[in-house]
Amino acid sequence: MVTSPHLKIAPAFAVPIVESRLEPCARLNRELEELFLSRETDEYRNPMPSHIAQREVFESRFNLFRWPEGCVQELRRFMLDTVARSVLALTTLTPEEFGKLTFQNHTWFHITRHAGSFVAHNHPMASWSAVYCVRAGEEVPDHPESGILRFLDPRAGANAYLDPANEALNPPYRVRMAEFRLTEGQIVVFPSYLFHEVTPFYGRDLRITVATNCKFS
Amino acid sequence: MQPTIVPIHATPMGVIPLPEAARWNTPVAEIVTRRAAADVSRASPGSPGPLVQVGTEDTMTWNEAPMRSVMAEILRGIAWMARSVNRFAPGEFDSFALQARATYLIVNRDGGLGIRNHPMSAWTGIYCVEAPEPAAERTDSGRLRVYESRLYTMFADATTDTMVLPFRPGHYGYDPAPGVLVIFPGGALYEIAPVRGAGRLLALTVQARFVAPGQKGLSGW
Repeated sequence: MVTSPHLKIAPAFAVPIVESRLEPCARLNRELEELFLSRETDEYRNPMPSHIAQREVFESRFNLFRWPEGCVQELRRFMLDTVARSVLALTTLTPEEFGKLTFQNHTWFHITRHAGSFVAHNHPMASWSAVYCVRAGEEVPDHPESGILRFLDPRAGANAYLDPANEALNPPYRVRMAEFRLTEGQIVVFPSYLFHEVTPFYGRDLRITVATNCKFS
Repeated sequence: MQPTIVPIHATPMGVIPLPEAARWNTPVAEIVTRRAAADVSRASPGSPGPLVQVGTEDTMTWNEAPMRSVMAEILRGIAWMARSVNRFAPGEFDSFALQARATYLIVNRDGGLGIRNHPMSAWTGIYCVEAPEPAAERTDSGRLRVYESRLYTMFADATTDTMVLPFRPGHYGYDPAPGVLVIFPGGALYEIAPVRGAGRLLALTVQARFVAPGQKGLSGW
């Protein structure tokens, strides 16, 4: 009788996406929203957007975490601490080694109104990116994909050949996009190379997020 | 030896005017509109309501004469594309069996077609029947965007981001124009950016592949 050898299966090329949450977040988000809306002006608008600008999406300059306001600095501590903890959890760096690194970030906010979206992109010259949700915006039952943060599978095109033996792969092996409907206080940390988009937002109110790109040296 | 530069990983994208097909655009639009009105409940899963309607994959079999004429022109365009990027021996290409299926696509104002590709297809063809008006405030309104997939572009300096085609990193955008067929590899990811101008995008999308004599593993269409 022949017995089957033991199978060792490894997710060899896994991509980390880290989720966390600020609790409580209502007060901070209220203060951030009030501040951001008051500065939704040309003075604070990103003067050199890298993507085709949309009237329905306000993008601030990338210096948000240099603002001195208490709510911004409180968010800065939470977001960058979450990135730092993610890096420590995902790398072989020790806290001592990590503590010696210089930490740079570009951080900005988006205010998105009806029919605003953001094309899929990644962030060259950064290692880790994160998105924090200040205001999720209205859910629209007729448009379940409204305002989704969607990550593209980096194995683009690997699903070009499918047959019954590979089209029903279990996670994490299946080629698929990862989608998040962010909720207030939620943060998602991910490798900057991951292409991601925000699908058109069809709520009648606002969707507000803060994004950061981090690099270390 | 002279210095040479080779586009070693170039992706072909055909932009093919089909004047014979364009003659039929008006009746084709009427046929698709009529059929789509009766087809809403069968729109593909994921179609976000009336903003976007993606038909089922039987459009290739519609019997109306204008549809048959346009589909024949589209398939001729795809065949031309496949010949153009290959070097076949005499008679070789003619021995291939063409397999194709088609859907219609209607993208109304504020709608967009989410990112997708077409597994098991060699070529994706998108033939534009109607295009929306340009939108001054949204220059990519209704644009076909074929996605970048190379990740080594994560390192960028002053000499890489600025490269010109066919070396330029980033997505490639094309504004659909009535009567023009666009063809690119079936596995490539693409989207239609949200339409913000007046009117709608009405297109026929075709997935096609060629089967060599004796080739197995391509059943199922």
